[in-house]
Amino acid sequence: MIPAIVVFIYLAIVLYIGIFAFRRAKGKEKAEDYFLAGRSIGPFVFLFSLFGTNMTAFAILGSSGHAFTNGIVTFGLMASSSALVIPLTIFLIGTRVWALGKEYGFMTPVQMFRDRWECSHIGTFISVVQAALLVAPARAPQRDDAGARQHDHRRGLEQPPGKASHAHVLQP
Amino acid sequence: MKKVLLVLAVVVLYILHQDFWFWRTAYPLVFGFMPIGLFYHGAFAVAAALLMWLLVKFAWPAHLEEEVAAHQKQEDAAS
Repeated sequence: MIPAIVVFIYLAIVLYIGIFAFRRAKGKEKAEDYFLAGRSIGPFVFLFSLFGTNMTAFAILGSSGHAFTNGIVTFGLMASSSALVIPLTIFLIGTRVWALGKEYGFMTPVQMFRDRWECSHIGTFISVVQAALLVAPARAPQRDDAGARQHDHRRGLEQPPGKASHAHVLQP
Repeated sequence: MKKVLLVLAVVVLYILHQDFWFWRTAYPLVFGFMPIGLFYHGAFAVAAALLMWLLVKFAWPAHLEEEVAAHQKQEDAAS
């Protein structure tokens, strides 16, 4: 019962945010306002949006499963690599894409690619590639879960995946 | 010179991330409880943040912002 109440409270908050945003945006319902918040997102919201985007099923479930079987190396594999790669990508590529978006009014990466190569079907191609790339990581948590369970089975352990014991953490 | 040093710092940090030296061992424990690999990567993350601060301070592509501002001025003048 309590989980259902929490879910409904969450949905009510999301609904309230939607109604609040709709009322505030009245009279300027442009696609740019909807997709990019009128290009007015500050660094604080940007940071949290970026964090939320990166907290995928792979990051939450896959990394737990990986840490369960491999130990603390998961931190190096996922967290500290992200500390270098993500900011560097934003610095080197994100700033250029931002400038192009401002200059030519792009809202999505597909618009930019479509304009750059003057090819209207490039969006379809990108969506197919993205779908393939999304399916692979989504399957990874299942593989890691299965790997963890097999590993435990061999060790004679019965422990739910994701609940790493200290022995696992300290002996990768 | 500044740019060369910053590029070099990025390359060095990338190499330092290839942690095969602590990859298969949890010992010694730093402060008596923290596996050395975890401590190493925690320190690495701090170093990455410092590097990004240096990049933003000394190599921020300000010319892009100027180009965008100039373009917007032109658009405003035209409309």
